[in-house]
Amino acid sequence: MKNKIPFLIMMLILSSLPVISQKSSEPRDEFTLLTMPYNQRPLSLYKGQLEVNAGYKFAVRSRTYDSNGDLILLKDEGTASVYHYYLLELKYGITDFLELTAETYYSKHGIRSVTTEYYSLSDNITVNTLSTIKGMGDLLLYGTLRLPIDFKWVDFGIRGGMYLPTADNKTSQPTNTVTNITAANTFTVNYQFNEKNGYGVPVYLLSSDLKFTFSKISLETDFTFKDPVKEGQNIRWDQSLTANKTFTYSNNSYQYLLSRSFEINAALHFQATGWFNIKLSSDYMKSSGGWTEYYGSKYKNPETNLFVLEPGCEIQVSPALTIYEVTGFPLAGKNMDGPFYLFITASINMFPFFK
Amino acid sequence: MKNIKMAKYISLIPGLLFLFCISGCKKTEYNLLDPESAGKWYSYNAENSSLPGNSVYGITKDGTNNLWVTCYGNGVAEYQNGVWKSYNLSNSNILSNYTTAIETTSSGDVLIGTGNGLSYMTSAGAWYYYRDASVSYMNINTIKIASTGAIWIGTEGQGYYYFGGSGFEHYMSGINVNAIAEDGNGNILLGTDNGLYKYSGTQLSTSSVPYLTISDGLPSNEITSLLVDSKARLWMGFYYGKTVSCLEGSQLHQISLMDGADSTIVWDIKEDKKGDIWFATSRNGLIRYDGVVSHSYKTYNYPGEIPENNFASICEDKDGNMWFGTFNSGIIKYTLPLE
Repeated sequence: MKNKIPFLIMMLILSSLPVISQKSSEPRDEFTLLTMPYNQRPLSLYKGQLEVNAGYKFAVRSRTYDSNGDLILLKDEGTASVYHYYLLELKYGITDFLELTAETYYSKHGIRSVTTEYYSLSDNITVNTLSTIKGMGDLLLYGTLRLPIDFKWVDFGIRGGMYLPTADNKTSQPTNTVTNITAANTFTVNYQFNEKNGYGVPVYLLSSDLKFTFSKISLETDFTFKDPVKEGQNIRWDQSLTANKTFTYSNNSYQYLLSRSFEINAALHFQATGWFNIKLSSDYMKSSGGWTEYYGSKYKNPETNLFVLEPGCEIQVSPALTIYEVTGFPLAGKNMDGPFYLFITASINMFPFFK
Repeated sequence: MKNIKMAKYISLIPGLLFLFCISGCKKTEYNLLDPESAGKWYSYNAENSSLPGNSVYGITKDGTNNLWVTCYGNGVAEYQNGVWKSYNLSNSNILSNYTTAIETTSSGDVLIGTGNGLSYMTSAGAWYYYRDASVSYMNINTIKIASTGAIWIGTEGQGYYYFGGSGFEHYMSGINVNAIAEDGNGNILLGTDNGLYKYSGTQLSTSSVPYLTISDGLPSNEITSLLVDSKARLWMGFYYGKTVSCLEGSQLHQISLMDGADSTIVWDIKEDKKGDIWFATSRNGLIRYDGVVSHSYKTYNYPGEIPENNFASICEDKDGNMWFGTFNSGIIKYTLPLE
């Protein structure tokens, strides 16, 4: 705690700097600001600018990495799946150097396990398992501060904020079924586990962003750190099959502490024309720490990491509308899924209060 | 000017959020277990450890969570901080090295069933014994300490003995009492070769009318193991039964566990912290019933991890690890997988 106090003081001082050094803005041309290409844009929105981002990510979970970092091809096992992720983000420029953001998401993901058959002298049970994870995610609120200077070729910004546990992350009761009952002891069990999104606890976020521009080429790197504020609690469900082939359920609560994570992203941009920018970025994420309770004992969370290559582009369709596209190719990882994904975002920009 | 003032206050938000984060942090340091240890089997035997013998018919844990095991022909052993400490005829006043059953009291005393009566070691290390002089042999099958503190002892051919605080009383002579359990209402359940007997914990009876037999739906009258689980279900294992029985309220269910054999002997039944039920069997290894499906753990499934398919006893330690005593290969420990 003590070694965090100087950092806290620095944060507070830095948060005041933009205002101290800010000059009254000259009247600006709305069209010019909205059509500013990436290589001339600062790291935060302009004063009075409102940005609404709606994104959709389609991911194919066809590969995963084990604890040794070895690649496992899920499609070979017949357990590949897809997930859908919908992003909604609102940003507003309070000043030319301070921006506030609120974002949330909805996602849906089903993981099917390999069908297993259990034979005994009198039983023949086939078991199918489907785990669905779906629902709203938490609400992330954060502020972005950038250097209180006009952007020419270098810019630096910091972000601070928090994921608020607005999503109901308590695991729902399974909806298992029994089908194909051909005899008293010959049937198929279909496990359907229903999980939800959300951290369940507040998680704070700190981030820094650095951008250099040399004519049409830009280099941007950012570092993001997330850490849970406290321990959380969730439930696990257990099921029993009754003689008349219906399920009874019970649940037990367990505690957990989320892992802390950091993410480094480095991107090289090329402004091909005023309305078209392409980029190649690499993203490395690592998580460690934290624990999860199983059967009354606390186990360390496995360390995870993932390295992804992300080519992408930005197309300015009109002054108000910009389309972003990113494709993710996982290259390496540990204890994590490495999905291939396409992420498309429509960004609407305006100055609703600009006179 | 007014806007600038407002912006100044708003610009403090990231710093205040950070302050809130730091002040709100509530994280306790715990001794954490390694997830890599989960789902693993580990074998202890007389060859790779100081376990005194390989025939482990009984396992229990004491109030300080140390494990106690019987090693038939070699006395008993206590597992403490990774070391087995043995007690036998050469270093203690135990009645016999042929130990068959073991239980501990809440005060840390250890009751040891042998082929020649009951040995009793207090937490202070003093030894006592009880042997009924009126019978020719007193081979103890099982020991149960009831919630009242009363001691119930099941024997081979000599019925059962009850100790309520003022001497042992002897009932049902001539009957094998193989397993003893207590339900949530304090009733004592006796698994015998003649079916299941049920007694009020405070009212003894010499009635010869069993509570459940084949005529009530049991697959066999020879009950070898009993368990009352956390859901108040009574599980019964049998001597060469084709199924195990589960009494849930007034409903008696039969559950088929056997994998590749028409019947088996279920020597012990225990529930793990996940709520799954484990069965120690002869020839058929270990069987775990998860409420829907029975999973088989045999040597051919787990070469090198399951040393044999004949299991006699089961116990759970404080960390939720399951310990299984075998007939000829010592004891194996299984850490539950993280599911």
